[in-house]
Amino acid sequence: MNGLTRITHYFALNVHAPDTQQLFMRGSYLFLLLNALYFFPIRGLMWGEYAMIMPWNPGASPDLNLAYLLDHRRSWAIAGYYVYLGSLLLVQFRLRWVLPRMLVFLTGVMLYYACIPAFNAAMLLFNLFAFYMLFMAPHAEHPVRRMVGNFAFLACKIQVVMVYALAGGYKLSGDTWLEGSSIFYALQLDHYTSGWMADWLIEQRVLLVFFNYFGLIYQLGFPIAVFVKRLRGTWLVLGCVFHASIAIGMHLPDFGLGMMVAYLLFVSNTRSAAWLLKAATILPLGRKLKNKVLE
Amino acid sequence: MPIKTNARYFATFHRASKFMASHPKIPFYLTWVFTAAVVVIIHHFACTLVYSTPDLNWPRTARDYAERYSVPFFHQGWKLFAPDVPNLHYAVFYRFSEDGQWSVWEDTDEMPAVSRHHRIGYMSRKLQMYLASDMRKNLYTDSMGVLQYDRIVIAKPYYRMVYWVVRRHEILHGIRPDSVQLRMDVIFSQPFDSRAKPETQAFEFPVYLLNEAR
Repeated sequence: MNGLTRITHYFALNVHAPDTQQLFMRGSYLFLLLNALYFFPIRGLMWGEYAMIMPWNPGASPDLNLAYLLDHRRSWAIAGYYVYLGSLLLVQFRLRWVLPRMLVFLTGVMLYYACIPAFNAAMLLFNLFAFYMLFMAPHAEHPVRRMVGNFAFLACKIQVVMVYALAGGYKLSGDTWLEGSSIFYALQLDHYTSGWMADWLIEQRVLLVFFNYFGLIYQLGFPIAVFVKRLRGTWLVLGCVFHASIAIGMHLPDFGLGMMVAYLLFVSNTRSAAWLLKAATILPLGRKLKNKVLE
Repeated sequence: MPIKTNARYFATFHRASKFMASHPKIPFYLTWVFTAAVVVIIHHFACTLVYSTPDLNWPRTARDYAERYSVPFFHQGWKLFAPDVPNLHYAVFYRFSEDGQWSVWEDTDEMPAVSRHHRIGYMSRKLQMYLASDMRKNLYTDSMGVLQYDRIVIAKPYYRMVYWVVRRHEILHGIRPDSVQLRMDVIFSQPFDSRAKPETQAFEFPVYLLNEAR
């Protein structure tokens, strides 16, 4: 048996970490649902009759690319939002169905292009995840489905690693991160700070320098640490603290929460199974999920 | 030596036999599916890497190809607060004219009468950021030292901000004003190594007439 056949076996015979895959998919779709509901009170101002953003790419027609459909036909945008919300609700109960997953991806991209200024990197990242998750199949029987699902799972991991590597790498090419002043300047940006906390923190220069280097080292170290078994747990816990402070301190709840959901990719299969079971016992609709996990 | 080599071969053979015994035979086409999947994934992430790092000196053909592949479905950028955290931020105000009377300057960020949703201010500030970015490129002074906005007022970021302001006004006041004027305050942050107070510089844009053909 040559190397190629062996590695094909590795990818085709078993679903890699099926419970982790399932936990990640459930977490991601739940995050997307919460994110969509977050916009519910202002859906009219974003995509409806009172939309405040002018068409972003007037020249880009849906003939050019389907992604621009709702930007081009603004009167359809609010309907697109409801399709998105409906598909996300459906996915919560029928994770295996591919059609709602496909609709989540397509309408998600369309809604993004119809109101670009409303979104941050979290939406971009989860649109990419929504694409990869189209191919994921934690309970696949057929070897081809298993293999494609395993590659999709791997793609999600590479994507997260790439986010940190690029974000960290770019920061090395500037001055503020290297001299330790970046948090100091970030705290002076009105829209990213909450009043009393920023006023107190900005006087604590030593602490600011520590946070600066902590953030930089964390991002640069993530691509390696997350694949080293001994470091992984610590790194993910530190990451949760890091992103929770971004979510609260910088008014970016979706970005902070989104990155924490992305960490589910690196949770071990045993722990994922335990968490799924726990979720199944807590959630009223979790009985079916519990049976699936126990299977 | 030959004995050692044989032992190693035997061990390898033994491991392979054990592996094959524990793994059922799989269809031959799976190797091709595997190869195709590897090619697809390498292609995807190579394009993502080239597209997300426009500052690196990739060959032009590679950049163009990566952009065609990535936009719109795989568009991404991971440059929040990179390479540097900005040392200035912006606030845009507007005033409107009705029957020749100018109003006071109003903040574009908030619409408390409609909603206190945090994302409204976020959207407005993103538009301000795009406008400021355009100003950095296209604002210039003439020979008399007077600021010239002619390149800015024909560009998309300015129209997007005006559209936002007019929509805001229509929603809050129920009418469309005769004309609007924007003002951008640029607030420079306090430097890290000094106690100097933050400074503000205001830029007043030309009046935008809404009820006349421009």
